[in-house]
Amino acid sequence: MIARRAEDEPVPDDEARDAALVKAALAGDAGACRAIWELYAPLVGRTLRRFFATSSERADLGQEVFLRVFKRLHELRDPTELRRFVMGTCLGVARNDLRRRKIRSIIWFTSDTDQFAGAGGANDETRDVAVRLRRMLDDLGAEDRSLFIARYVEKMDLKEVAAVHKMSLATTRRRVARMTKRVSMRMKGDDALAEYADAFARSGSVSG
Amino acid sequence: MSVADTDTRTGAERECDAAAALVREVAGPSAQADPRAWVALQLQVGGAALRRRPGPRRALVAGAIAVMFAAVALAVWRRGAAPSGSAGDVVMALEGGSRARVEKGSQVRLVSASLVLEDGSAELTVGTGPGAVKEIRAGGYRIQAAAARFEIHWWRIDQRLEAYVYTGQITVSNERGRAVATVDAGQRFVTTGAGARATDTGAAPPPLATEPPRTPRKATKTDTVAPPREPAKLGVVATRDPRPRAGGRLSYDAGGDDCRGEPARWTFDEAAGGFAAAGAFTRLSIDRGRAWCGSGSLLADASFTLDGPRDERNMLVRQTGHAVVTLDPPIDLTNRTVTVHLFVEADPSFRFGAGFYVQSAGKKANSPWLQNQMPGRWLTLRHTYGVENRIWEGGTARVDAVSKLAISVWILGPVRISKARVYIDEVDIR
Repeated sequence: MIARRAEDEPVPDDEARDAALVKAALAGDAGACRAIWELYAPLVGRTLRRFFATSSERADLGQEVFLRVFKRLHELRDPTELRRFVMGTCLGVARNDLRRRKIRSIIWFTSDTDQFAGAGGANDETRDVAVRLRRMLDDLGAEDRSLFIARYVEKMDLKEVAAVHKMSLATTRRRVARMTKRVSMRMKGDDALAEYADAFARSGSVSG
Repeated sequence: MSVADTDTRTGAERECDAAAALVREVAGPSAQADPRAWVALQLQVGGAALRRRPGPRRALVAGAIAVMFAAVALAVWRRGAAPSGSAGDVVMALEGGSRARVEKGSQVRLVSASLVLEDGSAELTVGTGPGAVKEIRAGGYRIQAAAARFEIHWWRIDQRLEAYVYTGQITVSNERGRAVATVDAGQRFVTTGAGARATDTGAAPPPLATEPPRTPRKATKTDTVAPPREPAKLGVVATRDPRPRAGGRLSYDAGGDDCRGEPARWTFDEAAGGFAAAGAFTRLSIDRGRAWCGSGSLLADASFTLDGPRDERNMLVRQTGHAVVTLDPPIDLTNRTVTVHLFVEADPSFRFGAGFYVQSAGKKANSPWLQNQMPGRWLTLRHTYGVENRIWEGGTARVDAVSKLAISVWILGPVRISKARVYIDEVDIR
């Protein structure tokens, strides 16, 4: 049995804490807002780092995520779902930005390839694979990339993926399956990535 | 099929797992939240978003106020007034009343009472309160001020530091703590691995053709600075328009090792090489004050505006300036690399894009475009053309009979009307 657990998966205590924070924030408690930010800023930062490798606009996007979270906090029906709400907002902001970048790159012919500039510590081979992977991810649409990050990188279960993408479970299942096929085909189509995937499978490491 | 709860994973899912593991590895672990980001967030939110959704009446009042502010902002914008910072800059309130504006994309840290600039640009207004942040550290330099407003640009890749002083006085020290320069209001301090110099940020120089050679002004205390790392070319004050000394040539060689190889096709040391100005570029001349290599560069005086007529691509005609050269006979650029170096001198708030294109059989194939650049640094544009090259109109074009090469710079704002000086040097085709 392969153990898979979403990173930072909430536990009941966390949910109670989140509910209290949401209530306090909605009542105008600035300290509660700060506490929400302190709790979830690392999660947002990490997700954006995984979504966009380059650093140029991540800080701004992180700000944008929290601006939206605080502006729409009153729309959160279940205060215990704060983490999901933040994550959904974060992926939404990332998707929108990715779409904007793609449009910009078409209109302005800019080279907006999002490369793993942060792979400084890695050796040349890993860096090369990372760059190829990033190119491969760039070829995916914004939704596919968002699903990939949620499902495989953040290891969310399908229900959670559906919730953060505001889709039905059936649609989520279909689209995740389609995205999985696309990623797989592209991995197989690139010799270096295929080799990396083989080595990864042989090592038996799945949990990351 | 559930991926999370089963061990019967398909090959496709395992490949996705491998890709995800690599993404996680490269992105690194979670970091603690940076408290300054909260300060910046509060500044952006302004407190309003943290409150409950306004009722209809409050929304109406808020809407009316927003419309008034928008009208005032639009009026100011249309008059061409430069705002204090570009869109996307982060403003931070620091200890002791100091205030920092960090340009979008810059990397900064706050270490005790210093702002550490890893890369990019930051402006510091030093406060007068206790414990005020009075120092910016960048690349081994410490820039300190008692009461001043100054701006620091640090390009880690080029190891280049620039300081602009708006008010007060700053002291630049090297990593050993030795003061290497004192820079007053209105002055600019520049240092690279090749040397350091201070300049006045005065008016633009007169045209080259009508001005007799001028000896550089006397050295000041900022002129004889020692660079912190490498032996420097000292003693010469690079004013904005230094003329060559009688019988001699000034050589700045900002390009460093790039300048030791075979000379480029267009060096602009002696002549403009057939280049002509178009669009927002009003005049081309040879400038001897700034060069990537050698003793001169092609200077384009530019007058950009975001108003006026549009061209066939619906682009504002005076938004972009071009330096165009006709290639006679036409040349084949297939699998060849075009390199251009350019430097834009303008107000620090000026933001621009740059690129070049070649025209072959009536079709224009452009290089990737650099967007949202800031003035005060050398940029290198380099592109290798293939057999088929993507073009603006859609589709592809061959570059086997290139008759024109054009180097373009366009304004992105925030000001709508702006003058700039664009230096182009060492244009090469290999």
